Formats: sequence, structure tokens, C-alpha cells
Amino acid sequence: MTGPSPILHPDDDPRLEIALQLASRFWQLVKSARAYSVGHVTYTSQLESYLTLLSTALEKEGAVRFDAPDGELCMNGEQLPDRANMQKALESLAHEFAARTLEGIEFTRGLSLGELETFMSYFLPGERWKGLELVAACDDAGLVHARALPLRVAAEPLGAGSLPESSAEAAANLPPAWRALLAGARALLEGDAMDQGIELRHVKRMLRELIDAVLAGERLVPVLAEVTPRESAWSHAAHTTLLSLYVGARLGLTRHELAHLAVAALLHDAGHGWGEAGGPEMVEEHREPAPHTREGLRRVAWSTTLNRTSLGALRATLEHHIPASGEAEGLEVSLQTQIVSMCDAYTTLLARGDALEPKLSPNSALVRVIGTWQERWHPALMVALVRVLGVYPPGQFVELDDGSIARATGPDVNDPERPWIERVADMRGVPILPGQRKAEPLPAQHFVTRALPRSEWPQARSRRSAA
Amino acid sequence: MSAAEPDPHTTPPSRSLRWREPERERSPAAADVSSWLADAARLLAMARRLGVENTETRALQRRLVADLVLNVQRHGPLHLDVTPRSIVMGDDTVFAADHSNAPTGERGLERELSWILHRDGLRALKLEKGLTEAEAATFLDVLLLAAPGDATDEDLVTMLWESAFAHVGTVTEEANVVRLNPLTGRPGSAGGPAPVGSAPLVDDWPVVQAPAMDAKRLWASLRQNEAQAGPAFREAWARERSEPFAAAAEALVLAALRDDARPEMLEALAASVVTWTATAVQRSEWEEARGAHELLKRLDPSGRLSAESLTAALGSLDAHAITERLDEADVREQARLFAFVVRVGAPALSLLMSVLADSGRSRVRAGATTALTYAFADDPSPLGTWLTDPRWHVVRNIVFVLGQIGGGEVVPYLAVAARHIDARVRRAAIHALGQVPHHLRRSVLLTQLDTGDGRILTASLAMLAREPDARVTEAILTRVRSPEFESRPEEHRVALLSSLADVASDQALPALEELLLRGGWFAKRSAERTAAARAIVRLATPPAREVLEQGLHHRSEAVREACDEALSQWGRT
Repeated sequence: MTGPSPILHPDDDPRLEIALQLASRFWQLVKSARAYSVGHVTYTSQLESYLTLLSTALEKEGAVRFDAPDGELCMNGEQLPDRANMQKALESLAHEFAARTLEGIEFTRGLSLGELETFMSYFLPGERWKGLELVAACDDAGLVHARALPLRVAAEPLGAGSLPESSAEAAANLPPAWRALLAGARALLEGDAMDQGIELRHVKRMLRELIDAVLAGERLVPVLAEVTPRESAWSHAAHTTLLSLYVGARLGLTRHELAHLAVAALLHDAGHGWGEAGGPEMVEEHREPAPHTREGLRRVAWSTTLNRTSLGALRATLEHHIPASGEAEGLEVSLQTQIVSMCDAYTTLLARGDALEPKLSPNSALVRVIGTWQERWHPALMVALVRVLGVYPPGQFVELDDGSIARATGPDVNDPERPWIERVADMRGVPILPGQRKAEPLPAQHFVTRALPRSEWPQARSRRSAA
Repeated sequence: MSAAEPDPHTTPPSRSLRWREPERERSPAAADVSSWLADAARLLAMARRLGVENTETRALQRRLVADLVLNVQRHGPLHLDVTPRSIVMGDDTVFAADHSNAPTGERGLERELSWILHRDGLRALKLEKGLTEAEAATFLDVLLLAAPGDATDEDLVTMLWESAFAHVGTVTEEANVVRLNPLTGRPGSAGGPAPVGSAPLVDDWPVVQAPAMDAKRLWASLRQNEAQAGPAFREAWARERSEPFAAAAEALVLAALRDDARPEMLEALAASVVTWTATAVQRSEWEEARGAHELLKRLDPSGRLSAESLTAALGSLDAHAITERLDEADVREQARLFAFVVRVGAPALSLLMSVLADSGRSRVRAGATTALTYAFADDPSPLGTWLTDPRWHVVRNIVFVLGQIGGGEVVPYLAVAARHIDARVRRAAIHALGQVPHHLRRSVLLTQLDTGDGRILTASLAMLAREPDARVTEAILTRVRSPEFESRPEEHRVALLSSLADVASDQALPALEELLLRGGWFAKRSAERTAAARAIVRLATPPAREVLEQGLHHRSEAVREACDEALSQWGRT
């Protein structure tokens, strides 16, 4: 490029012009789909052309993310400028996200035409898939480089306030205790709020409701079935906290001890991206970034006062990747850290996308935690974990003795081998519509014959047959 | 009763109006609860002064436990609404803070029972019938633990919740889990770094290339050991929980530094240990504070990383509470504080000054001044900042400490103190100058020759006279010769003249002679004339004798008498 683009204002960043093009042309693709079905040669050619444009941006940026957090369309966090000729397209796209109860969409480097086509096949029929269902459908379809972004649950002040209207629908179905934890985790871990200093007694107050719910036996474990690849760091912290609390409660910890444990679980990964992103001392270019365990320790040390609770959290940040039997850091890994570590491992494996290895089923994730890595944790922790999750953890598809397929939603209190189930296909293999599914204990006369590997999950099978 | 007459029994429009009805009788329940709350407030005050473990505190607590159970049994259920300045039961104010009219931020108010309950978000307390002694005891334990407000990880509401009461209910108000930026009303800084928490989860667990195992089999093997694993875990857990905090903190700090001695890691750990030190001090746990500070010294021997934050942390403590406790403590306990402060040095100055200012015990104040002397012997400059304190007694004590330190470094500060508005401070400053080399203190003392305070003048002159000097003589002579000399009080004039003899030689003789002979025919007997004559005697030189002998022939009898009396002293002085 030899000079400034004639259509740009001299003050405009040239990247914004690309962004405007990408956004408006994506909206054209949505409109085009009203005339052509996905797979039609004309539509494929339009997708191909869009992918060419997109690839340039992906090469530079690594990811292209469209969202409209405040109703204004943004690309990679930057609000797109007003252009008279594109205004309507941008507004329409923002409305489309809202109508589908999505935060936005994201494409990452490595996107192929096939993947884009598959993504559009899920994205376009808005009457069929919306919000979390669409996100889950894309995940189940194995989409890695194109994905719908779930609407975030807004962080709300504790004890008061309400969710913004746009997210109210998404949040309405969440159990209140879990919703409070999500809001608290987000407030705490998103942005640099934590770096302004926190008082752990306030964090404990925020956790009370969840601890009470866990101790009361409320069935919150099924939310672990909703862990998605590339979930946000605060969402991961919340999932780890929830699981840690169930494990802790199973081990007989008191409310006081559970509160300590939950704080440690919530902050265990606080060091991820901190030094690089601009902690008090940003990592210098010539230096290797410190491991997140050390950065986490540093961050928690900066933002809290040293007391029993923060000491537990500091240890969890530092030790949660050290094998229990080893003393690599000169410190024997505490049992509290081991609980956090084990639950972190499980929820991380659940969120593992295709980047490192094929996406894992909950059952495979559990097998790694209690099998491959069993030396890392005290035996009692693994017993407790299985009693909390069951042998078929929430989200796992299983085949029953009558040939029907069901999705596990959590274990029976007394028998980890007998999950609560939600049938998704009857014994003839006929799918049961989502509205007709219901969670129930596994009937006494039935048993689970096997856990289905991910490749045999219903969505994957339907995709293969469609192909 | 006619329709126009107001019903005397209707509820007044404002409850506050009703508070002020002295003649209205309280219900028996309100009277009992009110009395109990007054005692509970007394318990808090006692625990603050004597400590929770004190015998008297324990005795009162035991009585209150029994009374609470009885009150709830008799009048329950009790519903108490909590406000910062009062506690209300139904229409009765059952507790009003002593400092109920104190402005917010007043520390006195913060120590009140109602404030302590309200501070952490408690808005109502419900005590149900069936309250057990154990519950009542736990409730009071929690109240005592939460009262000092020095716990940074626990608060009253959380501790009440952790106690899982069956017969105590609470209504609470919750705060934000993070601080809101006052400018934006949102968490985080206005122009802070890019959000890091909203980034996707980082997959930080290794890829496992292992053959798939069967979950059922793994569970079967785990289950075999379940019976042993549970107790083993509980035992290990209990062992871990019983580890002393100080040891655990130290182990963590050392482990963190083992392979990572980056300056930023040191800085973060030092900042963390500073907070521990400060909270230990607030709890008056001097041994723990000493341990924390020792750890801090290991992290930051020079104090470069932590001095500022430690100063701020110790300066923000509720020193009044610490002093109250110290006043009631035994000598050993007091000695621990002073030893700690001497170790910490400058960052602990404000704490020690507060103790010095607030303590009602002379023994504590003496200890504090001694500690200050030790702590700042090498560099007294931090003490200088306290000379502007509005409390005269604080400044006087600082001056006393400066005097104890002595040497040339303290002179500039004593010079400032010598100009203090309060004479008691100025006197102390002059007294303190006694510990300073003469040549350094001279200029400060000379400024005191015009003082209107006789004691200061006398003390200054006495000190100046110890090492006579031409400049001193000149200064005194200047005062003696000045027109204002006549208007000064007689004792001042006498003091100046007397000192002149100590510091001067024959050069002062003309001035003394003039004062001796002043008045001519009408000269009268005066203390000043007598003093001049005596000063001449003390010069003990032939010209001085000559002046006196000439005076014997003076026309005025008063002059002759003065000279005669002076000559009779010749050779004796």
C-alpha cells in the first residue's frame, strides 16, 4: 500500500476499514442465506470470497471477534466507526446477536471453508438454535475456529441489583447460588478490579450462598456439563470453585473450611496473563514470562492482606500444578491445594478444545484425573470426586442396557455408578426432542452399559449421517 | 374522650420523638434486653482493655451467656434492628451509643456495640426461643472476635454464618466483592490495563498420551481403599490446619523465593508481609508482629521495598485501642511493644507517638520515650515532623526525647521547639539543650534572652554562663543597654545583670557602673542597683573595685549603701 485509502478519513485507523468490510459482508452472508441454502454453489462461492477477506485479518490479528456489548458493533473490542452506507448492516448484525442471545461470534486463524460453512449452517437457522444451545451445538460439531460466543452473565453487586435486560433470559435459568458465584467471579477476575485490592472477607461473603446450597445438597453439579471450550477465565474459576466445594463438602469440611477452600479455588489461576497484561511490573520483552503459578502468587500477594485465607489462596496459586508427592517448590503441597488442583484439572480438561488434543468427554476427563494423574492427589480426594461427579459425570452421554441413549446429569447420592439421566434417544435410536427430555434417576431396572466416546455422541452421529 | 382530643396511646409519627419521651415506660422485655446490651457493650470495652482471655472478661462473658439465654427464654423471640448508633426492638430503643452524636469517622463511635454490629453489614438480629447456652456463648465469642475489626479475612456476619446457629438469625446487607472506582462507578481502574480475566481459559494441564482406562474399574479400586482414605485424610487435614500461621507463612515466602528472586516477587511478598505485621500489631500480638517483621527484614534487609508501606500500614492502625490495651498490660507485655518498635524504627514512629499521646500511664509513656530514644538515636530527623503536632504535651515529649538523644543533630529541632507557642514546650527545649555541645546551642539560647518567661530566661542564662564567650557578653550587654531594659520585669533585669558578671570581664563595667549610679541625687534603693553592685564585685578586678570605692562617695545614699554592701562581699565571692 503506497498511500492512505481514499475512503478513509485521514484520522481513521486503516484496520477499521477492514473491520467495516468484514462486518458488513458478514451481514450480507446472513441476508444471502435467505435466498440460497448453505451448500448451494452460489452461497459457497460467497463464503469462499468472505474467507479470503477474513484470512487477511486473521493472519494479522489471530482472531476476529464481532460483538456488541453495549449495542454498538465492535471488532476485537474496538467499536466500529459510523459509515452512512454501512450503518444499517452494522446495526442489523448487532441486533442479530441480541436476538440470538449471543455475545457475538469469533473466527480464529486456521479457519477452513468447510468449517465456515458448518458454522453458518448452525448460525443461520436462528429459530432452531439460540444462545447456549447454539454454542453447545457448534462445540459438539467440533468447530474450533468459528464459534458463537455465549452471553456473559453480568457481574452484579451482591445482594442487590439486577442483570441487564439482554442477559436476563440467559441468567434466568441458572440456580441463584450459581448465578451469584458467576457474577462474583466475573467482578473479581475480569479486568483489573482485583488489582485495586480486595478483602477476602468480602469474597467469603459472596461465597456463602453457594456453600449453603452445596451443604444443603442442592444439585448444582449439572452446571459442569455446560463447560465449553475456551470458556472465560472467570467462568473456569467459578466451575473449579463449585466442584471444589462439592468435593470439600463430601470430605466433611466445615463451613469455615469450605469458605477458605472456595477462595483458594476462585483465585488459583489469577496469574494467567497477568504479568504480560500489565501487572504492577509488566514483563519485559527480553525476558521469559514467569509461570502463571508464580504470577498468581504475586498478584494475590499484592491484592490481599496476609492472613489464613489468603495464605491458602497463595499456596493454591503456587502449588496447584506441583505433584503432591513432589516438593518441587520446597513446599509440601497442601491438601487444600490438592483439592483445588484436582478440580482445576478436571474442569480444564472439560474445556479442552481441539487445539491440544481431541476434545474430551467428561468420562475421559475423569479417567485422567483419577487414573493417569492419581499420584498427584490424596486418595480420599479422588473418592470424593467420583462420589460428587459419578462414574459418568454430568454431560456424559451413556448407553443404557435397553439401547437408549441418555445424558448424565449427576450421580445418585449413594451410588456413583448410577447417574441421573436425561434420555436423548429411545431404544430405537429415535431422538427425543429437547422439550420432552427430563432429568430423572436411572430407573432401578436399568443400568449403564457404557460411556459413549465423543465420536459417538448424538450430535456427532447426526452430523456424520447428514454428511 | 372527645374526637378532638388526641389519643395518648397512638404511635407517634416519628419513632425518634418517642425516644425522647422520658416518662414512657419500657416493656419488661425492652428493659431486660437494654440492660443486657449495656452489659455487652461493657464486655466489649473490657475485652478491648484487658483482652479476651482476662479473668474479669471471662467472668462477665459467662454471666452474659446465662442472661442472654434467660432473656430469650423469657421474652423471645427477640427481633433487634441494628443501626450504627442504636439498637431498636419494636418501638423501643434498647441501646444508644455513648457517642451517638459523634460524627462519622470518629473513632469513639467505632468502638460502640451498635457500630460493631452494623459495620459488617448486620441489619437485624433475631434470637429465637430455644437458644442454647452453647449458642449464646458462641455468639458472644464471635462478637468479641469481630469487635476489634483487625481481622482482614473474617467479619462478624461471616463468623455468625459459620457458626450455623439454629436459634440466631440475621438480616444482612452485602457489599461489592471488589472496590468500585469512584470516578466510573465500576470495578477496576478507569484507564487500567486491558482486561485479563475475560481472556479465555488457558489450558495449562499437560496432554496425556496414555491408553484409555476404564472409569468403572478405577472407581472400584478407589472404593476398596475408601474406608482407610477418609480417616487418613481427616488426620492429615487436621494436622495441616493446626500448623502455626507464622511457620506456614514463612515456609511459603521462602518457597516462593527459592527459584524466583525477581525484584517484583520480593516486592510483592514484602507488601504482603507488611499487611501481616500491621494486623498483628493491631491485635497487640507482639510476638507475632516481631516474627512477621523478622521475615520482612529477611525479604528486605535495607527497608527499601517496604519502609513506605510499613509506615502507612502502622500509621493507619487504631492506636487508641492498642494504647488502651497497653495501659492495662503488665510490664513484660509493654516491653514487647517497645522492643518491637525499636526494631522497626522510623515506620513505627506514628504508632509510638500515638501511644505516647494517648496513654494514661506514666510508666507506659516513660517506656515509649525510652523506646523512641533508642529507635531514633542515629537519625532523629523523623521526630522533627512531630514538632508541629497540635498537642503541646506530644511536642514536649518529643523535645524530651530529642534531649535524651542529644548531639548536634537535634539542635535544629530544639531551635524550632524553643519558638513553640507553649512555654512548657519552650522550657523543655531549653532544658534539652543542656545535652547539646555549647557551641551548637549558643545561638538558640541567645534567642531566649528576650523571652518574657522568667524561668526560660534564667535557664538560658545559666546555660550560657557555663562557657563565657564574647558573643554572649555582647548579647547580654545589648539587652542591658537597650531602652526596653527598664520596662522588663525586675527579676529579668536582675537575672541579666547577675549573669553578666559570670560571662563578662571589664568590658561590662561601664554598663554596670551606669546602672549602679543611675538616678543621681534621687537614686533609690533597688534590686537592680544591688544586682549591678554585686555583679561588679564578681568581676573582682581592680577597676571594678575602684568603681565601688568611688561609689562610696556618691551623693545618693542608695548608691553608697549598695557599694558599701558590695565591698563588704569583696573577696568572698
